Amino acid sequence: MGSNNKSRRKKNHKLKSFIFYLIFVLIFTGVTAPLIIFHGPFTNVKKTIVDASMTTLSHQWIAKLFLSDEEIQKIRSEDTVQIVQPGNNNLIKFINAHNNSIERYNISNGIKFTGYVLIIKDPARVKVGYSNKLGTQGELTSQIAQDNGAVAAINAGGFSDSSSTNTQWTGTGGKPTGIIMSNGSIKFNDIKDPDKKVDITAITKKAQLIVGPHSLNDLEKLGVTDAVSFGPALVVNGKGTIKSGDGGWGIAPRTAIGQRSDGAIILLVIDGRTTKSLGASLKDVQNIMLKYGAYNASNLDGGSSSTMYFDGGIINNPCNALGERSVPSAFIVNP
Amino acid sequence: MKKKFKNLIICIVVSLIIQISGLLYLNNIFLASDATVKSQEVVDSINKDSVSKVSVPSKATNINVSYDASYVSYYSDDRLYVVNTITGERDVISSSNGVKVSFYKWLPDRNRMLIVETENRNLSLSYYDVAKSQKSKVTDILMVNSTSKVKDIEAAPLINVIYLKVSNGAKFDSIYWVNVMNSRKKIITKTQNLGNIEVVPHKDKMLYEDLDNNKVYATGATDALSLFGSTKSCLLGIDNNDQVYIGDVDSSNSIDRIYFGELNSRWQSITLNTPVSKADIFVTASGKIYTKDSSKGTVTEIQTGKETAYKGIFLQLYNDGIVSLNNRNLVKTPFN
Repeated sequence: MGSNNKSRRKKNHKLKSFIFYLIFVLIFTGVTAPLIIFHGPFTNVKKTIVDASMTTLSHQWIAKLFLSDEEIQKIRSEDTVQIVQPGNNNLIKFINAHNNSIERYNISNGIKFTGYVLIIKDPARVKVGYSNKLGTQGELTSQIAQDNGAVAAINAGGFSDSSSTNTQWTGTGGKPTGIIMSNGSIKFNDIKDPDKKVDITAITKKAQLIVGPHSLNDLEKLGVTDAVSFGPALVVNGKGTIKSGDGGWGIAPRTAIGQRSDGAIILLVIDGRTTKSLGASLKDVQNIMLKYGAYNASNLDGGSSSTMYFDGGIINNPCNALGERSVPSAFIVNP
Repeated sequence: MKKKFKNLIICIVVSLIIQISGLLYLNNIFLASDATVKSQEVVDSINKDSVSKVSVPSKATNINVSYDASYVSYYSDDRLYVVNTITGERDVISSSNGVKVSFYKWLPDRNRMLIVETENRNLSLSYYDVAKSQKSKVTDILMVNSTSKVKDIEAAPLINVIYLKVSNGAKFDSIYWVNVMNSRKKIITKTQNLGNIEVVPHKDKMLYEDLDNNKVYATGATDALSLFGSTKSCLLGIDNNDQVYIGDVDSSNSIDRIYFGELNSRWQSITLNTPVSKADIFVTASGKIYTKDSSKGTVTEIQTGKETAYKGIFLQLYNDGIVSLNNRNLVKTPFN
């Protein structure tokens, strides 16, 4: 009995000291981890945390707790999305063979994200669709597609994200920002100055994709028939615009559109905010666009709006609990 | 003492090794933008044939169809089943380690449901995407006591807001609000004895019945919705254009008059020829009011008087018609 007691006491003692060391490790890690993250050599980790916290309103304290405003500024400015003025004369030239096929790909880089790509061989099929209740509410990307008899669609332009009672994140997708142009007519426009250049993703009457900053006057000169306001341009004239850093928007679900030099349109959606797919940076999106041969490409509204419709259903996994979100505009593919 | 010191050093080294290797992985592999992207072409799959009959087992309980009646769901043997009414394909919703589904509700405009599982001291809310057979957790709500149960869920997909009604015992209900960022808060209501709840689709506002006084309130406002001449009222529904439908309850607990209109605007009203029980009145998303007569097996649209006959036992309305069970077979009858 005595020896039994002794060994139990010994066991107890061992357990106690194990717990002591465990707590010590936890506290030590808790204290040193922020120091290593914010002041160590791991620039990608530091940048991602700073970008992710600074692009929200309520979590900026995470970055501000450990770094001075100047340091944050410096980290944020390391990302340069180069603004390339493509000029209005060197538009992409291609002969449209009106090939009626669509190729579909599932993409994955293993752990960080999964995504979906559609290649529309005939760019003349790609147009801008919009919510038929603009002003009061958006529509689901799939609804916009079905209303127009489209075979495929991705969400397009942005909107202000609050409802009439002004609670945040409760936007109905009914209040777009910028411009929405469809089939040659302007459906929505809050840009007052016709010479002011803002990020635009547009399609001309010759089915050329226009990306980057353009004014309303530019759009007219270029013969644009369909347009939404969103950016930034990720590929201009075959070259990536993000020269250093990851684009500065953190990782999230993404939507993007591009055009190859043979005219084919690339539609891309990347899932995010789930354990299976966290999301992609703008740089990731640029890399994918370049890999698929994009000559011009632009980022579109991402996050919980990211949706891809194809062949009668949603093929990506929108990150909201309630599923696909209402949006003001979409790029649609006519049959 | 020396041993303790040595152990502490070991702990520090272990902590640093774990941190640095983890961060090295994140920094150089996970967050590196030049990681390779694999791509795989997807080729069309063959469409499945549609079946003519979908039957529901006799022991099935809580039978509900989705908004367009493409799917029917029910509990059987403590499991939740979802059946595609076009292909007949059946899916069972899996829960981890014997956790039981304690509540589910279809969304008003898409084939997706919200599911509540009771687990330890939590009411765990998940969504289930039927087309992809994918279940994913949204949030947890701590149970106030062991009897806490979700009694209703109202979701507004347009503004991405979910309201949950949790009953913690008799006359002790709580309302929780969950938004698109999965953040959650408790909603203050005038009473804890709550009846039907509904959400205004374009506004982040919930309406609820106060069962203590038989009045209808909106969140954020302290006064009951004031209806001229009505002493007892109940909440019938809210349509896609934010029109609210309120029933005037007469002395025999039936509804003899229906008021409708947007919040803070003038109410219009319709008088019913014969008073109808609340359970037999339905307001659709498109703003039509139907009454059901079980003895005749008909559903009548009040505004036009159009009558639609259904076969068997009435189940519920869907977007385009009535769903009923005839000899355990699901029957869809479009409105006349």
